[in-house]
Amino acid sequence: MERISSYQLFSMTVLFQVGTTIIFGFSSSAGRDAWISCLISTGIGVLTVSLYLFLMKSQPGLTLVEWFPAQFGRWIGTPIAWMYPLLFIYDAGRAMGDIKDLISVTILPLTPHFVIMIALLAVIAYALYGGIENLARIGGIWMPIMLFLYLIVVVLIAVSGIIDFRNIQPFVDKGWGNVMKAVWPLGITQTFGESIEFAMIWPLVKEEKKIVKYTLVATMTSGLLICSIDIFAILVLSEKYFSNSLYPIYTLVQQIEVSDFIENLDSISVILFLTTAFFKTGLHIFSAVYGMQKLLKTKSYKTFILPVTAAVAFLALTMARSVLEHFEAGLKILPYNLWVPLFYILPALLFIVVAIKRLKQVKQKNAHS
Amino acid sequence: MQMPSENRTEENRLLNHNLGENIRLIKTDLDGCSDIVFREFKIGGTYDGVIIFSRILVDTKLIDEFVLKPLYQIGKIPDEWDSKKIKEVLINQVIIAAQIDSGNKLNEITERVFSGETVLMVSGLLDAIYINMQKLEKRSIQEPLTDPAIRGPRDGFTEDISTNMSLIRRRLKTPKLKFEELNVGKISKTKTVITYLKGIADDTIIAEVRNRITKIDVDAILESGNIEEFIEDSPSSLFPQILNTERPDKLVSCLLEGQIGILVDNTPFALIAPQTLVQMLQAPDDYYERHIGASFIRIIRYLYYGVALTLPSLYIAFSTFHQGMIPTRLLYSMAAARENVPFPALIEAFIMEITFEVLREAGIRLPKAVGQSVSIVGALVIGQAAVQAGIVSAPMVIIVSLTGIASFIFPKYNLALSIRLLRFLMMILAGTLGLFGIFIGIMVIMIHMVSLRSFGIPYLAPLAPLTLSSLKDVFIRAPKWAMKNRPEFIVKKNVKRVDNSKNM
Repeated sequence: MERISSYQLFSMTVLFQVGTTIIFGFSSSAGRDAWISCLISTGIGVLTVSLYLFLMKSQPGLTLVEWFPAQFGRWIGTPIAWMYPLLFIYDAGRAMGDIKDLISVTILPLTPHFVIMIALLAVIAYALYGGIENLARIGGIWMPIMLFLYLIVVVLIAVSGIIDFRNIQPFVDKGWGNVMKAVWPLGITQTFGESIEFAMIWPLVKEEKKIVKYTLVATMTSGLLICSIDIFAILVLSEKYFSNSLYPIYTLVQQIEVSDFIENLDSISVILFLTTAFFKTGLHIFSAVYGMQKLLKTKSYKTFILPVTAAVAFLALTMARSVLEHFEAGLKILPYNLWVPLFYILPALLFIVVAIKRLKQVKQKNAHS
Repeated sequence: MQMPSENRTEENRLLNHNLGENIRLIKTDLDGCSDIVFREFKIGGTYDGVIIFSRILVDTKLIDEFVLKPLYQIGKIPDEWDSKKIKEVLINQVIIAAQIDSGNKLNEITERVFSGETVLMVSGLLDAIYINMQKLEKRSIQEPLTDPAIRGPRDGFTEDISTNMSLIRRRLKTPKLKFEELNVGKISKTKTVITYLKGIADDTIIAEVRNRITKIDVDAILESGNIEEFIEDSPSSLFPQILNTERPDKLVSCLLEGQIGILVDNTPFALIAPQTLVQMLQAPDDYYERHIGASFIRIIRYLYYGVALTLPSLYIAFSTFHQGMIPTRLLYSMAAARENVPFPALIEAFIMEITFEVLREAGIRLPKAVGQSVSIVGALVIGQAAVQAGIVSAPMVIIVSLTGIASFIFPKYNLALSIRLLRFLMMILAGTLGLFGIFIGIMVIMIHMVSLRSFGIPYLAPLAPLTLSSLKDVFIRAPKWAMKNRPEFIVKKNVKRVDNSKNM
């Protein structure tokens, strides 16, 4: 039986939540108030994750895909549960699609997409064949490295003298509606809503008691990380460039210039994005194959790794004809049609069912006594 | 089908009453071994005796003085004494030897003779008496050649296993230090000793080591490397999972941290298991120098672990794919240097790296005096000429020399070897996919490393999985008084090094 430690859960949660979000600048549609949207989203995100944690606590030892059959019955629950692995495969395809575009726009303009995809997915599959423990241990190693790199970037931005505080003022000049538009639905579904995936992993954590604490702290950490990066991007790039550039954080790192020697660090930021995307995709694929194993009740999830990875590669290469189409789907279609129902409506229904069942139990107990 | 049963009877054959018959059997066994001496004589008037020994393994002066002389001086043996009584008298009152015992198996006699013991047989006795008066040629204790340290004890293991055991015992005067003896190799019957500190080393790991060694099925063990190959967890991995050392102080410090030592006769290299990557990057004098300086050296070592692995590949990636990342002025001078070079950076790096590996191997194989001239010809003449002829660029020579030096700072040769090999993989990846390829390469190496285990201990412990308390001895070396606990990823019980109550 594979087991992961609380620290590994923490680092995987942070790396997953920072994930591909960091590449695009969180809720950049809100312009210079993106950081406010980000903070609000983090707040709601923590509540959302708490809901998932409550559902996990009320059904000890069960993974996400087992929740629905357990509460709704086998005939209604199983089809619902199947939607999750499929969504995770699709999400993995999206994350890989993001990376594919990013790599070819930034560091490898001439390399064919499929080479990049195959190289990256082969490594992910290799990691997963070794088991989730492997991914968790690498996460534990990368977490401090990532924080260290983040700190270096912050220091370099500060000493480059490119920060302009006028860029962020005035606050909320376009009204709260503009801010909230970025929060709902995209702000809270990507990153925080997606964390429902960890319901597949929580039952594998060694110290059950620490899951709630570590997950919530990790959620807050990644929320603050994303928000602070947003703030820096706005301060340096000004609203116009922040909202309009494809990869605002990449552009932000490009601005670093210290005494004519340290400059053009953008490739470093790409490596950072690659790392977080690596974990995000890895966890998507793991959750998908692990969910399929639980649903089909087979012996090992490792048989599913290869077909699922192939499906992800296929999706990543074919899901969009251009970067813009890819973005359009991600910003307008996906959140309403897939994420909101699967990350909010179904868990909310589940919550109601669990709550009613609990009330009944309490009443029965009272009636008996 | 007949053979095995025959062999078994051969193996279990006992001595019989007839001394002449016994001698004949042994002589046929030892036919052609010119070093074996059969010295026949009479004792106590009526009895025939013989001593069998190998004259190259035994101190004959001692035999004369303490075995033959007392036997000759023995008076008449009373007739009423039975064979048991005779044997008892011989062992306890006649022969003067510290190590003496007896046995009745025929094939054991030849084994004992070849391990340097003297066999005494007397007519009528069903047992042979084994007297240990060995004289083995051995090298004196010298400074270890492959594990040098600035400060620290100068004694190193030798080829003689008893000397090696004495070097360990001298440092740990406790009954908890155990030596378990095993013989490995069907023909060589090499003496192999498992040593550990009872109560500190994990019993399951001890059992696992013992089990794996007894399972070895091979004709001969010539060096501890032979054993290492048989008992490693992943023999096909590039990374060594068992440490070898020539230093008794290193072995003892590992024993104190709950690891297990394996000593093999005829080699100065002892094995230590389980090992992690972190421990392989620790040099013995890290612990003898002042801790701040030692920590600095250690950080440098980790830094250059990365340099040795990635520097040529980073150069290739930057100069072929991401020229934008190189500071402008540096880029100008690099471009000027590369102007006349006909090869792409990848090929250039390959030529130089392989040349360097060849020079290095040649330097090891040649006699010391010639070795130096090879390095002068190789490094200075070829390097200089290649640059001037425009075959390789000067920055590439700098990069290759730097990586070469970086791979020399590892305390262990076999670890450096793994890095040297992986460097070529990284170079190919960098030459095809740039920084992305380097990322892929590092990820693959990391995934491989986290899945490795050495006798059940994760190879990257205490980094992954993280054990915070053991980080005191990873990137830095905390002072001895601050390391109150043994590394917790190896030691499960008896974790405390110091008893706090006494210090208070």
